[in-house]
Amino acid sequence: MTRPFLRWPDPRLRQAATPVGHVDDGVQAIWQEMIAAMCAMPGLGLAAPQIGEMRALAIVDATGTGREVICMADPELLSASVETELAAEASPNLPGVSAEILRPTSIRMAFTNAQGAREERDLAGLWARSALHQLDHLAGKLFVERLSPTRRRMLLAKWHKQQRRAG
Amino acid sequence: MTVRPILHWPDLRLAQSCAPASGAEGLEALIEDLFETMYAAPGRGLAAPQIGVMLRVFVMDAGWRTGAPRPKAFVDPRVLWASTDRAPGQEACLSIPGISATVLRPGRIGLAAVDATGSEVMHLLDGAEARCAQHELDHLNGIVTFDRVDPAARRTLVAAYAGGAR
Repeated sequence: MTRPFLRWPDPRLRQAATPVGHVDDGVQAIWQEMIAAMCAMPGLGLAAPQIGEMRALAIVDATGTGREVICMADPELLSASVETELAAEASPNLPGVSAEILRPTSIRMAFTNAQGAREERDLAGLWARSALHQLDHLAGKLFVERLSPTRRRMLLAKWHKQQRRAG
Repeated sequence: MTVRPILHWPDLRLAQSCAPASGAEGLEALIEDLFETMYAAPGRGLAAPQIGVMLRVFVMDAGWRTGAPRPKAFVDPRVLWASTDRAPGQEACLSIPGISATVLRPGRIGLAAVDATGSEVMHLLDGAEARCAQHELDHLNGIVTFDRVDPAARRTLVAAYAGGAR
């Protein structure tokens, strides 16, 4: 059983997540729920606040299969490449729209892993992009907030229009 | 080897971007002069535009005044990655004598550059070396410490510099 995705503009999507600290059975259960939710989307990653769980938990699987998931608690960005690239991003919290977002092509992160140990890992390409997208969620930021005000307005107007049509 | 005169701010050459240097004629002699001038100043780093040579070259030896010399020369350096922390540090500049500015910089960087023999080298820099290299790299892009502080701090520093006896 997985919780539904919050719908933008749910105020929880703009809240920073709280630190997790110790990885216990409760955390493992949330990760499992998140993996199920990610695979149902389908998507390349998920942050706990997207399903209303306001803790600093994220998962990333750039293969999109759900078989190579990296579970992260209290992730932090240690370094980022100066080289950046543009690629499309979307969110189940703002379904139906996507936008090209500029992100570093490779990063180094630290996080508490599924075994409860602090780990450092280098991520590149889609792995880096998804992890950065999740880090934004944990900071209370949706990908649209990476857009210029004009592009953000246009994207949200498009989303509202789709919502009216669907509703 | 020659000790060359060092340009002082606001010389306009200190506000210009430099040209790629790989394969430039006289590169080895330039690097020797930069080291000679830097150690004589004395300083911990020196970029080519500071002696009026508008090429992407700098030298540094961040710890020679307190420890063993570790001279390093960088040709056409580019930052590949930077840590996300921002540490404040005091930075003096041979082109802005008498002034020290507090500048925020990433604590660690990955820098690719060509060395004096023409081969591409990756440098992992932290501490004083990371700060020094970023300061010198700024010179290659026409940036000095005054450009790295907020407007109020800049006004204070420029006023102190203008008021200094030079």
